[in-house]
Amino acid sequence: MTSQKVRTVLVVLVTLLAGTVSAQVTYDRILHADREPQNWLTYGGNYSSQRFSPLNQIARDNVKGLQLKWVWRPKYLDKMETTPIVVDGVMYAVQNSEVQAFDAATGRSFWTFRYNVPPDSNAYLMVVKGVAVAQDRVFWATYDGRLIAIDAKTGRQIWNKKLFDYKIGNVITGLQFNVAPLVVKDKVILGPATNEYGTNCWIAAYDVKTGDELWKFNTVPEPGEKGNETWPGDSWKHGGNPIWVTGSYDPDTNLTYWGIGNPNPGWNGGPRNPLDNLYGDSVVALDVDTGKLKWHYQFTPNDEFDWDSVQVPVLAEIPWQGRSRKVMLWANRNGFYYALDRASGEFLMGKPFVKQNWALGIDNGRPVRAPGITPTPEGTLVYPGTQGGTNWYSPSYSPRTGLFYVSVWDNYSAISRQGDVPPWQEGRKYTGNTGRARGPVAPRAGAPYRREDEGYGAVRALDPKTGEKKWDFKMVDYTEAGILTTGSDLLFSGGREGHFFSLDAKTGELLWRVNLGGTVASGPISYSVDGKQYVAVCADGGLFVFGLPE
Amino acid sequence: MVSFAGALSAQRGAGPAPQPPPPPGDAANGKALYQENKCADCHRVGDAGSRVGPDLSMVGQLRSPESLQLALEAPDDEVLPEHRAAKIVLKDGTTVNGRLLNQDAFSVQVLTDKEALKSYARANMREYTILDKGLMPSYKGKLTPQQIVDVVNYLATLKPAPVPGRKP
Repeated sequence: MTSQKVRTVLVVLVTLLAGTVSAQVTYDRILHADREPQNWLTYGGNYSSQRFSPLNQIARDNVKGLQLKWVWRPKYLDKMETTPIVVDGVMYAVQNSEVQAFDAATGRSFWTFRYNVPPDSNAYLMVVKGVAVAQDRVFWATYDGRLIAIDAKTGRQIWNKKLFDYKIGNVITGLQFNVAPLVVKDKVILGPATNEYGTNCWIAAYDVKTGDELWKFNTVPEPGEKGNETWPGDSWKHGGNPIWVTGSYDPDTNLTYWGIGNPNPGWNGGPRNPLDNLYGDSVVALDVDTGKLKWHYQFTPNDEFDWDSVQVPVLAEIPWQGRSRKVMLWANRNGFYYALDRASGEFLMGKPFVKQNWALGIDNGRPVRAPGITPTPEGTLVYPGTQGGTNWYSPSYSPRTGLFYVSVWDNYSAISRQGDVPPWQEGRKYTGNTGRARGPVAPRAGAPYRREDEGYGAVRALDPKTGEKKWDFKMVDYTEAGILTTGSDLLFSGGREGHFFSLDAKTGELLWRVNLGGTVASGPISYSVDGKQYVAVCADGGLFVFGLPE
Repeated sequence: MVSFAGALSAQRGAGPAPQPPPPPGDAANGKALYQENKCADCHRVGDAGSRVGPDLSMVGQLRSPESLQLALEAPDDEVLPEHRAAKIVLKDGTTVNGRLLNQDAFSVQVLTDKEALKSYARANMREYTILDKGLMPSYKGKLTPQQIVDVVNYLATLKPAPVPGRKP
């Protein structure tokens, strides 16, 4: 190219710079995510967290033809739990110490942002559940307590705020960020987890522009805050109550809903007995502008089984006793399915969705405990086991089928043992668990040898109005996979067996499967680029994207 | 205003060694010259300006005054590969100009001049040119030597905010 031609190109380039800047992800766009089904704008797909894609190009008659289109193998090959975000043909995904922007059709990288997360900030697993995108920024919460705003177009760091100390001196505090943030209006909302370290957690909103804190809600209420009376003495000081998964938002009520994890010490109440220990194992509804608590519902008061309520709040409008009602659907780790009124928090119904033996039922919204099902020194057999009837895996609600889909662990049990609770000590786990002791053994075996009565995993379709099971897709091994449903009544999920599969969302019939060589432990998503639909999911240390043949 | 040069990778990792001070100049006048000469049409500082050219938000930390002056006077002398531009003409006649981000045997990824991240299949291209010269005009002769020094002084101020409690 001649020098003159180069100059001509330059002039054209500079002239065009005055043109329209590519569209930003505004609050209005996220609010109306259903208007742009080609994108996947939040962790749950939309503010209702239904993990439902209206796309229907991949359908029952062609799903068998799905082909692998591209794979991302990040530098750090730990188990991936990330849900990617897709905006206008660009996918944003995170793993460990890197965020990448990809061409969502080919997997070619636009940019990589690296932040070297200190290895000792890993108080749990080296997993991140995702990033958020809003305006022209990507928001990443790191293990070591930083919230980082990254320019979505260039991968440049805009701001980097330390929100807590993961370590003080040489002592690990036990706090870490694990969640994908939720952006509502001008606020980035998230909270930290503590993995049984007895470090108190919170939910807070930070300014999109600056990262400055706008409000904070303590998940263990301090003296003077409502709910502190549910903690005997000073037990509130080490109550934990972590945040592990992303919340939802209802623009009608202006409330954001978050599930809260278990109180500490987790497996033996000890100093926090016999009170309820709010807001452990609860869902809280917070005014998104102020962070003020509007209502809460506690699924498992005074939990001693580690049954975090770290499920994604799924918002839906369903027929209810002759009228349409705006509800929250919740299959809880404690083995009960719940429907709540999401404006008031009113308990509408609760029913077991897996085998359980700890509660006789739910009376006026409160569980009626079964006699004798508490931790004992010799051990007590409890259903469901520690991992629960389900856990953090994203469920799905299809407005087309009207069904609520949950990844379940059924016939699954554990032995709950009560030991001494040593005084809380900074940098040490605070579980109240004394390890193995003589006593009953949980009826379970490893997956290669396991009978169905010893436990199994399944994708389970529930009628959200009644909690009745409509169908099951059973696996021998358990599942940590989230669930996606689509506008063509397909369901995508997977499990520990390594399979990623598609089912008929109406019947549970298996339509397609592929083995990805490792645990599927994320929620699938769907999006389209240039009119072609794709499905993406993480398995083990890779992100896999599938589409139809060209 | 500065050429498509200047490593920005240090933004994403440990910071480089401190730069020497610039020659005496007026940073405030340099900032005014930056604005008058529409440098923000290509460059970005903080939240202002275009993303198509190199981001200058931390250029004062990343580049020496000497290299900043060179970038203003003889920008074609040092254009880092990651600051090259691409011109793509598609088979339907559409022309796309932008900053080259990535490429392989099948596709090319750019940040277009409209600041969109786009990927183009080579099979759909009529013409594809990688540009590493002439992306920024020389200001030698357009600005006086002192004005160039003033701009260098302004650019030298563009550094990340100090972290409280940390020694510089």
